[in-house]
Amino acid sequence: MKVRLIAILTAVISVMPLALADAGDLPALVQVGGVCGISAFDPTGLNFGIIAPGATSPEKSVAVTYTNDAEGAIMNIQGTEWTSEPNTMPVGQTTWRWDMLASFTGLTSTATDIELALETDGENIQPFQFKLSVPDGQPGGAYAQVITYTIDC
Amino acid sequence: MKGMLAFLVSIVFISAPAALAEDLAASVEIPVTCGITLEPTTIDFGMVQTGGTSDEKTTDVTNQGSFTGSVYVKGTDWTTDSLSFGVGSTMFGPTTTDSPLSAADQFLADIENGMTQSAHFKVSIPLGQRMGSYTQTITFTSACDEV
Repeated sequence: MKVRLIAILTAVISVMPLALADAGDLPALVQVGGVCGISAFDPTGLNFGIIAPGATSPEKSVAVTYTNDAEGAIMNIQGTEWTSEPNTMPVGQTTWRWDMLASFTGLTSTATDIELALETDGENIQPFQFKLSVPDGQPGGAYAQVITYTIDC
Repeated sequence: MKGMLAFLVSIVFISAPAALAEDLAASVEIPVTCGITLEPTTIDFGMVQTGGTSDEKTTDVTNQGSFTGSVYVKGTDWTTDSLSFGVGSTMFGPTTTDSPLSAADQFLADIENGMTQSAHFKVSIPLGQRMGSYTQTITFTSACDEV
């Protein structure tokens, strides 16, 4: 119903005579929302396998598929603590990078902007590398963490 | 007419910026371990006279593993190229040096993962022991107390 109403109103505006310009200027604002989103991870989960305390995992790679049509869109990343009730492990034990030449950055519980120029030509794939360092004395168990990617456009 | 324009502008604002998020599940298995490290890794009792007893020396035993470990200690005889004296001349303990070291494992302490326990040692040189530079190897073993 709304769509139909808008169409009618637009038609009315288009047939207004020029004389109405005497009524004055009307400031108009617009914010154009882009289309963006993350559609897939490959693999769908990040499994570091078995790591002993004091050891660091091998690099693991995850390909992030995203869609974006907005210039200046920003992807960011954050994570939760590692948990294996009742034990936890700091979020920053996970490190990441997208640039193979860059050093790894500690994951944080607040969103960190990824300094990556996102493509604007539809669907794209960006690989990320991850490592996990387990602290000495970390209690044993099966731990889980959630890593969240967000795109703002 | 103004009312119409205002309505149109408000329609445009509905097209707000998007923020879309997706979660990636990460997992890891931390195994049952109770590996230990020693600091320092060498004990030097220095010069001790025949019939004398050294000062007490310590090494810190740290459980870097994921579970509590029961730590045991054993040693070899003191030897030079051609001479020796008994392993039991070394006394040890977790707080005092009241147990003679032996060639078989003896309990030192339970050490929780991430915790450190000192091990204390001293050596008494038998009367008449010929002078020389003697060495002994003390071996620590940790057994995980997995339930």
